[in-house]
Amino acid sequence: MAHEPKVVAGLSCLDVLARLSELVDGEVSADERAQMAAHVAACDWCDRFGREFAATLDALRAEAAAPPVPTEVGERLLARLAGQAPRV
Amino acid sequence: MTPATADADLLAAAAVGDEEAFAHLVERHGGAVLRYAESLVGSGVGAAEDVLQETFLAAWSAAARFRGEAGARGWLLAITRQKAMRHFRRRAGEPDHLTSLAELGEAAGWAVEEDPADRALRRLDLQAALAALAVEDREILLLRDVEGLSGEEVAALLGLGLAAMKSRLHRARLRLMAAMTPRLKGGTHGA
Repeated sequence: MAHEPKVVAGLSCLDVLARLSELVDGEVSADERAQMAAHVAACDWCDRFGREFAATLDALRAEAAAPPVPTEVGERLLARLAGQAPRV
Repeated sequence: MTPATADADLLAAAAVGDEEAFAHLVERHGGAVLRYAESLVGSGVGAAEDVLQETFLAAWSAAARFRGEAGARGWLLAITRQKAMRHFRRRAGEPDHLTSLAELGEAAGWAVEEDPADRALRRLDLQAALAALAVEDREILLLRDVEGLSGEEVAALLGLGLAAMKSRLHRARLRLMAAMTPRLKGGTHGA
């Protein structure tokens, strides 16, 4: 089913889509944030998509702990280092 | 030398030949370096390990020149990128900037009304979705959202202006969502 885009609080749905990253990264001003919030409050579609967008980024950021270097890889690296003097 | 010793102190010690200090750095940041290398060159045939080794060997040699402005992890990831470029020939031109934002949004499920439960059932594993992305998208997501580098650090590392980095990041995030909702790609609206 197609969504009917709308303009609310001076913003179109596409305006909100364009600025979602800035919103979740905390890079919009208080006034801009309020304007986006007013749009989202009246637009179920942007509300739902915005939540999903934020949830996806949350899941991505939860990946933060990289697995350690496998022991044998670390050993091969340190073996290559042995005997090499740093250049100052 | 303890696990809590600051990166800058470890690098200062490595600069005068302290291999134990450097081993701590490998232990602390090697996983991130390897993951980033794999995102650029793939995980097969030892290429990522080659990049890891070249990165840390270069860092060992250059430890005295570390100034700490970007943090040790950002510094190491910048070296990783330099080394990976030898193994990975980037595609010509920029990523898919010709695709409109609306089209990207629609591919990501922005324009399609659907039962959220249905969508949840269809979401691909995040790792599988990341693996399906173009390397430029995977790289910027990994640096900014997974490794948590600042926008300024990512822009500098990629050789982009801050505004261009933000635009590329936003599109990469939408493409990640699109990769996680593959069957929604046919939906459109009349905007």
